Amino acid sequence: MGTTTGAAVAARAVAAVKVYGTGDAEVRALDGIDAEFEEGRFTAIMGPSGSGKSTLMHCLAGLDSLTDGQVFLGDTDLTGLDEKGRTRVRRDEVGFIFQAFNLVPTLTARENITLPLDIAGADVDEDWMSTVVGAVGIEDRLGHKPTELSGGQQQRVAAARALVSRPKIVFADEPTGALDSSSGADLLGFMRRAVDEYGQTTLMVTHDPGAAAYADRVVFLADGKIVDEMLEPTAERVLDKMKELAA
Amino acid sequence: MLTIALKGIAANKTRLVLTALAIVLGVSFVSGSFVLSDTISKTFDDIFEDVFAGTDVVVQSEQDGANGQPEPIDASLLPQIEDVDGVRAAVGGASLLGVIPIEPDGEALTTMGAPQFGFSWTDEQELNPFEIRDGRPPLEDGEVAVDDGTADQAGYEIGQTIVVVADDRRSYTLVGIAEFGGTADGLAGATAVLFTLPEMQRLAGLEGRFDSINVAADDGVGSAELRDRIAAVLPAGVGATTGQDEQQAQSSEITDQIRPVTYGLLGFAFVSLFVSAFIIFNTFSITVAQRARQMALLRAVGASGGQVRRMVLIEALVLGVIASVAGLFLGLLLAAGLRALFAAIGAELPSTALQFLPRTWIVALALGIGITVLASYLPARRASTVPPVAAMRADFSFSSGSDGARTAIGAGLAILGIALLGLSFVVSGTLTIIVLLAAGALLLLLGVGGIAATLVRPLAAVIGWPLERVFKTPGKLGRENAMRNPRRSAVTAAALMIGLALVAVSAVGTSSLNASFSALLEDQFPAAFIVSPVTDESPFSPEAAAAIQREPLVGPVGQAREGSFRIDGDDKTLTGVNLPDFGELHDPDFVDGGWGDLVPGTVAIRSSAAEDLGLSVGSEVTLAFAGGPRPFTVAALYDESIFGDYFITLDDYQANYAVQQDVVVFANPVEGADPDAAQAQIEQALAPFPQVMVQNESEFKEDLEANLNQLLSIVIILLMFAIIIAIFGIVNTLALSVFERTREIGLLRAVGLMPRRVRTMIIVESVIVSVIGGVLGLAVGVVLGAVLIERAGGFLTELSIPIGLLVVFLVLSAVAGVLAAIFPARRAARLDVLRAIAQE
Repeated sequence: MGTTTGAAVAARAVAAVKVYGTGDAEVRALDGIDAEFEEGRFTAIMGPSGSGKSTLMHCLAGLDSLTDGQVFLGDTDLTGLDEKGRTRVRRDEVGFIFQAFNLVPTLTARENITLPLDIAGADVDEDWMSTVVGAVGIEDRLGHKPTELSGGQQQRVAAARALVSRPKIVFADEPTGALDSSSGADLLGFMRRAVDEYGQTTLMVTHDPGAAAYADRVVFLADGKIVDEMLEPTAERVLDKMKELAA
Repeated sequence: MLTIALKGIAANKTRLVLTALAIVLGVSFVSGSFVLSDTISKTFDDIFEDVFAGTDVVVQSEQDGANGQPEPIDASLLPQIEDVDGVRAAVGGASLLGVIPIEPDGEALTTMGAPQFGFSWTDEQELNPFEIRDGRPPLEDGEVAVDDGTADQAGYEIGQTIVVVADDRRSYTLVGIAEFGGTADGLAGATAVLFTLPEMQRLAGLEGRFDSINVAADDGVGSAELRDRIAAVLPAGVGATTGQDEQQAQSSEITDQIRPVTYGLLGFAFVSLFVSAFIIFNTFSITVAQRARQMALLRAVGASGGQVRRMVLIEALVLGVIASVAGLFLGLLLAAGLRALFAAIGAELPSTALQFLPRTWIVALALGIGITVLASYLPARRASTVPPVAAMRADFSFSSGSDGARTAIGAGLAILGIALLGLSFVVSGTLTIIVLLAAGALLLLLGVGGIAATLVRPLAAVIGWPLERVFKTPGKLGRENAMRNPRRSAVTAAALMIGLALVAVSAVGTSSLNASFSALLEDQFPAAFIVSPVTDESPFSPEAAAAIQREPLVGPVGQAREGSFRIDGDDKTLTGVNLPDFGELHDPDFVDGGWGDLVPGTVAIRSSAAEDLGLSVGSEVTLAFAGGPRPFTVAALYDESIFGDYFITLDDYQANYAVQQDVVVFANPVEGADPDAAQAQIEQALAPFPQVMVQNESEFKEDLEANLNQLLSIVIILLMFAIIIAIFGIVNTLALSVFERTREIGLLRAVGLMPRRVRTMIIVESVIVSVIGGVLGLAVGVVLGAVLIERAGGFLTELSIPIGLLVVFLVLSAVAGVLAAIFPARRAARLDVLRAIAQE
C-alpha cells in the first residue's frame, strides 16, 4: 500500500504482527500489516468484527505492543520504546476519542478536557481551548459533571480533550458507536472540520459506512490483513465494499 | 493528579466515611491512651509538687519495712536535726494504712481499691500537705480532721462524734475538714483521717518513732546543702533527701505503676490500627478494581504508571490525614471516657486538665497516616499496572494473581509463626519469650489471613448450608456472593478474625487462670475460711485475728504479714507467719524440711530462689532489715506458694518490724464443728472490723471468678474497638459490593425477587463472612491461648477452654454480621429497578 499523495507520514506500520494466546487458542489479530497514514488527512479503518482494526489502532497509538514488526508515530519507532516511552508519546503526541466510558466521572467537563495537559503538567492554551470548545459547542456545559451531560455532549467533550493538547494525531475508536445518528453526525462533522481547518491528522476505526464517508481515505481490514482501500469514499461505495468483503 | 485524587475522594462520601472511621477509631485509641496516662502522671506530679512544696529535706529510713513502707525511725533524731545549723523547722510524722472511717449510719466507708490513710497533723503548715478548709486542726488526742472528699462521702459535719477503725473501733470528735495538696477533689478516691501526732503514733504502734522527719530550711540555705549537713548527724540506715528528689522519686514511682497500663492500652490501640490496615487495604483494593477503567483512561491519555500509583497514594494520604486528625481529637474524648470507665470499676482518678503532649499528636498522626498509606501501597501498585488498552474493554478485570502462591505464603507464615511459638518453649529470658510469642502470634494471624482466601469456599459452603435451607434462593445467592470473590471475603473476615482471636485468647486466659487458681487453692490451702481486707492491699490490725481466735468453734488461725528486707543487696519481700497454726492452713509443697523446722532464727525459701542464691537446708544466710543484718539458717525449701519466696516466724517478724499488720488470715473450724456455725461466729467476731471480710472457700472462689470475669469484660471492651473497626470493614465491603452489583441486583428485582429477599441475600452474605472471621479467629485464639498458658507455666497449671463462652462469641459474630448488613442491605433493597438495569 503506497501513499497516494506526497504528504509526510504521521503514522506507519511495517510488517506488524500481533498474536494473542498460544497454541490452539492462538489468534493472529494482525498478520503482517504494512500501512502509512499521511499528515493532515482523515483516515478510516474498516473491517468486520475480529478483523484486527481496533488492535491496529491500539498498536499505532502505543496502547498495546506488537508481537513482531514495527510501528512508527512520525519518526519515532514505538516498538523500540518501553512502557514509559510509549506513555510519553501518548501524552505528548496522541489524542484519543473512545466509544464510551471515556470521561472521568468525578471531574467536570472542563477538567476532563484539560486532563492530558494536567497529567503532563503543561499549561492550557486558553485561546486554543476556547476555539476547540467553541467548535464542539459545549461552552455552556464546561462546569458540568459527565453524568449531567447527554451521550452526544460527553462524546464532544472527549473530542475536545483529544484536540486540546494539539496532538500530532488523533485516534478515534468507534466514536459514534454509542450515539444516536444526529449526535453522531455532529461529532463527525466536527472531526472533519478539525482536519480541514486545523490540519488535524485523524485516524478512526469504525464499522459504520456512514461514518467512514467523512474520511478522506478508507482502509479495509479482514483477518488481520489489509485487503483494500478507497479514496474519496461515499457511504454507498463503502457499504458495497463491506458487503463484498463479507461475501 | 492531586485534583483527580481529591475529587475521587469527595465523590464517594460513604466510602470515605466508612474507611476513615476505621482509622479514626484506631488513632483515637492511640491518642486517648497517651492522653489518659499523661493526665494521670501530671495529676500526681502536681499533687506531689504541692505536697513537697515547702519541704527542703526528708529524713527517713533507707530501707523499707512492713508492707513495703519505709521502716520508722527513732524519735530521738528530731532534736538532733533541729540543732543542725540552717534548720528552720523539723516535724516528725506518723501514718498508717487501713484507717477506716465509719459513716454515721454505721457502714464502713470503704474505697474500691484506693488506700485508706491515717496521718499525723502538724501546725507547721509549710511541712503539711493538708490545709484546714473548715473548722480547726485536731489539738487533743480525741479529735480528728478528715479530708473534704471523705467528709462529703460520709456526710460528716464538724462537731460530730465519728467512729474510726484502725487497730480497734474508737470514737473521735470531728473538729476540721482539710484539703489535700491544693486539689479540691479529694485524694483520688483515697481517704484520710488526721490525728494528733501522739494519737497517730499510738494507733500505728509507733510510740517514740516517726515514719519520717520533714525539714524546712532557713532563708538562704539551699536544700542540697541542708541535706548534707543533716546527713552528717544521722545514724547508719537513716537517709536524708531533698524534698525535690523525694517528690521526683514518688512521682516516678507512680509513673512506673501507670506504665504497664499505658503499654497495655497502647497494645490494644495497635491491635485496632492493625485491623484498620486490613480495612484500608480491602477498600482500596476494591475501589481500584472498580475504577480500573478510569485508571486505564488516565494511562491512555498519557499518565504514567507512577502517576496513577501516586494518585491512589495521594488519595490514601489525604484520607489518612483527615482521619488521623479527627482520631487525634476523638482520643481526647476517649480519654475522658476511659477515665469514666476506670471510675466505674473503682479506680477513680483525680480530675486535672487533659494532657495533650506533642508526643501524643506526633505519634498518633504518624501512625494513622503511615498505616493508611502503607496499607494502600499494594492496591496503588496494582492500579499502576492497569494496561491502557483496558480503557476500551468493557470486561477488564485484574488478573487475580496466583491463589496458590498466596496460600503458600500464608501457610509459610503460619508455620513460621507456629515455629516461633514452639521456640519460645526452648529459650529462656522473659523478654525473649514475650517477643517470640508476640511475633509468633502475629505471623500466625497473618498466615491464617493469607490462607483464608482458600478456606472461604469450604467454610462458606458449610456455614451457608443451613442458611440456604432456611432462606432458599436468597440464602443461596448470598452464599454464592460470599464465595464469588474469595480474597475479598477473606480479607474482610480476617479483620474480624484478629479481634475475635484476641477475645478468645483472653477468654482462655481468664478461664485457665480461674481453673488454675481454684486448683491451687485446693492444693495449697486446706483452710475453710479466708479473712481478707475489703480494700485490696490494705493490711489490717492483728486484733481481727485475735478476735477470731477467741471464738469457741474456731480452730487454727493463721496470720501472714509482709515486709521488705535485703538479701545479697537485693530488695525482697518476706512473709512472717504464726506457727504452728499457719502451717495447718497453707501447704507450700515442701521439698526439703517443713513447717516444723521453721523456728525463730530460721527461714524457709522457695527452691528456685535458693538455687539462685546457692543455698540449701542448713546454709547460713544474712537477712538485712532496717534495724540491721540478722543471721538466719535455711530450715526448709518449698516449690509452690502464692506468698513470696521467703517465710520467717512471726516472732522474728515482730522483732524486726515496727508496724504489725496482717495481710491475710486463714482459719479452720475446730474438729467436728459445723462450718456454717463457725463462719457465723467469725462474722460475729469481725463485726468491729469493717475493713475485713470473711469468706468460705466457695465464696472466695466465686469472688475470684467475678474478679476475673470483670477483667475479661474490660479486655473485651478494649478489644471492642478492633471488633467495631472490623464490622465497619464488613459494612464497607458489602456497600462496595452492592454498588458493584447494582445492575445484577436490579436484574434480580426485575425477574421478581422481592426487596425483602434482596435484603436477606445481603444479610446472608454478611453473616457468612463474619462467621468465617469468627470461626478462624476463635480457632486461632484458642491455639494461641493454649500456647500462652502452657508457656506461662508457674501456677498456671490448668488449661481451661470455655466452650460455652466461645459458642456465645461465635453467635455474636453472626449478630455482628447481621448488624453490618443493615445499611448495605437496605440500600440494595431500595434500588430503583429500571435505573439499576440501565446502568453501565
